[in-house]
Amino acid sequence: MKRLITLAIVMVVAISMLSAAGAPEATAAKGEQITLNVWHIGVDVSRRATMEKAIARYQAANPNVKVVEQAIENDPYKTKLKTAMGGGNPPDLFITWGGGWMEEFIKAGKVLDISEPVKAVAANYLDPGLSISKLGDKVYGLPITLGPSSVYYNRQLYDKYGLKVPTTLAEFEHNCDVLKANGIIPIALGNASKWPGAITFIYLSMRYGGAQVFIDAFNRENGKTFEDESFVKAGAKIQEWVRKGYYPEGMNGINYDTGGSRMLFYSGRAAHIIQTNGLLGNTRNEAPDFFKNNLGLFKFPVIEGAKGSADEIVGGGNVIHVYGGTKYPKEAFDLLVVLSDLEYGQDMINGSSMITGVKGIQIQDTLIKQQYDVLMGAKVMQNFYDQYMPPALAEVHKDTTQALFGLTMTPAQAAKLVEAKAVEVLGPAK
Amino acid sequence: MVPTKRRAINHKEILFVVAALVPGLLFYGVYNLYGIFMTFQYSTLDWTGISQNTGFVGLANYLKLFKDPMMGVAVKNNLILMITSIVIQLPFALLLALALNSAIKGTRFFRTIFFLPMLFSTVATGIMWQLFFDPMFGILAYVMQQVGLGAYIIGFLADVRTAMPAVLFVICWQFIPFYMIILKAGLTNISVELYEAATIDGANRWQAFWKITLPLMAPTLRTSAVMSMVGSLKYFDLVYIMTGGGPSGATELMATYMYKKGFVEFGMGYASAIAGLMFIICFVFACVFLYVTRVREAH
Repeated sequence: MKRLITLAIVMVVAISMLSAAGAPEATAAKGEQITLNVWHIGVDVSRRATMEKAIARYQAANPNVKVVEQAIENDPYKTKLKTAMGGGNPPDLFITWGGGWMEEFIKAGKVLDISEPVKAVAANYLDPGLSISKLGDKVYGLPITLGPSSVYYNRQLYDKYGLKVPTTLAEFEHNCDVLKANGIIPIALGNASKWPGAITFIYLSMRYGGAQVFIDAFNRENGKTFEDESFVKAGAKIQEWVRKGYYPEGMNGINYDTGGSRMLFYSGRAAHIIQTNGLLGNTRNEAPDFFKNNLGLFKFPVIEGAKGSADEIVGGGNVIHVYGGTKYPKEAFDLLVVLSDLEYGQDMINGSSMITGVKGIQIQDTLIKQQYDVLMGAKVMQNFYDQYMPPALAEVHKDTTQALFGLTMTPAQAAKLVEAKAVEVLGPAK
Repeated sequence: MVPTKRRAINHKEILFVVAALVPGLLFYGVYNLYGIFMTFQYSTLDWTGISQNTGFVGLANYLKLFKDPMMGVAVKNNLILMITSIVIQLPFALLLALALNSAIKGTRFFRTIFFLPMLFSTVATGIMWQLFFDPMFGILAYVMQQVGLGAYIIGFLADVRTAMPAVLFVICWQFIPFYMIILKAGLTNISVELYEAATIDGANRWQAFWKITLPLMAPTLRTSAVMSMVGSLKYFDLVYIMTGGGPSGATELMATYMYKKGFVEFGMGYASAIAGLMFIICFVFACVFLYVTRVREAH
């Protein structure tokens, strides 16, 4: 018994000493061995290798720093990071998707404001990349992936049925009708996790109303709300497409992450997929022949007579941040720069076909070049609504969009629900 | 001095009992009692889960909970799950256990086969059945196509009408073997002599089942029922993997809703209130059930 008590006391003391150890200090003393933890979501072989290579470069230049890197699957990552931030054992560097999710961490004081030190390197990055790393006019991170969402199509199917790359929605619908008549699913979609279908909704609403409508509705100004007709029309168009059979049966149950919709696309059973920049890398890894022989892409078509332009794109990416409470802000910032610099960006293009937000990369592949030009030519890059908005509102946006695809809600009902939540989260519209 | 001596032994025994219990109690205290206590504390806060700032809001989270229509849906789905668990899983498990307990050849082989679903990891099970129900590439769709039911193929996990039954089916598939093994253990404990005596007295197998097997299995069945009940009230994993609570909340459970509110929407205070309510519901159900069945047993 006494031993047990002694043991218990020893343990309690040991634990409290552990947590008390190490008050924050500005930088590590010269020659002192320090450890920096990096959490990211590049779990596939090529992205992880790129990350490891950049870390190795940093370590070679800074032998006193040991960098421990962890790659975590997309959805578990969100839970793990939140738990670590709340529980008090977070990594020194971590990624977010910018927007509302990032803002939650900034508000909680978990993200280091790097506005000052970033001035020395800011000129190396593309504007859309820096813009998703900002809140107000303060910079909180650097972009490590960045890219537009496009309509990807199967070139061979287009050749076979004599279709032309569309620039207007009417042309696109014509192509879909021809494909449908020939027994091909016009658009592959795996919408179980809701964000894949949301991309289509965002594009349609932007093409109907122009990019400014969402911004105004979000800022609650200029009399715009989420019940604006562009949102209702976008919902109506989606339901029209669902009823016409443009989508695979049961798309709300198909999981994008486990590849359901991509299988339809790769196997030629579906002709288009409207997806993020990540599809290029996925295709290159999962179906290299398809990537070489079949894959093509075009900008989301415009709607004749509507306000939206083809140079307003939906995109997004990952931003890497320094933890606000890190013990070594200087070392962490230096690492941050290395993990997003030109060499890293070039490796990402070469290994994973992913654009990263740094200027000056050389692109050989015509398809990626095309994607890059879409990004460079964009007048507006709107972050995905579900990344941009506060998480509680983003969930309603995604839930209602999924319900639109499932035909269990009318476009007006969906818009009304989003607006009601917006009033709750963002305040009434002015 | 006899009484004093006895007390001394008792004292020593108590010491031993306490010493033996301390590690267990320590774990129980830290991971259960402390957790439950903290959950209730968090549930009175307006807290994002990551911030140092917390605002005390009293019972506001609970009031919000009772007005939240999605919570009603989740509770209803949990009750459906609970009823199917008890009404379908336990009788099926008992049937399988009886089959395994009989003198049929090859029971060992079948025991292994029947038990397999329990051995798979839940994530693998979820993804496997997701593929099974897939309307494009799934086996179910293929079979339906072959037997001429092609017109009825839908996204079984994507349709509000079929998602819940599909998930319930998989949950039953996974858990029947678990209860089968427990019930099988219960059956093994029933002395063979009782059946022999009954046969001599002229009872048929049906009578033997109702008069011997079932009454003697009552404690095991009762334990299984409580486990099944509490398990289904706090169920999470297969639903999270297969449908994530969707489509449109058709398979939302209290636990998946709690996860969504806490980890996706940064509402840890509100999520804790859901957890608190789940605790209360489970506790009440378990207590009432145990009380009611205890009275029955006494009769």
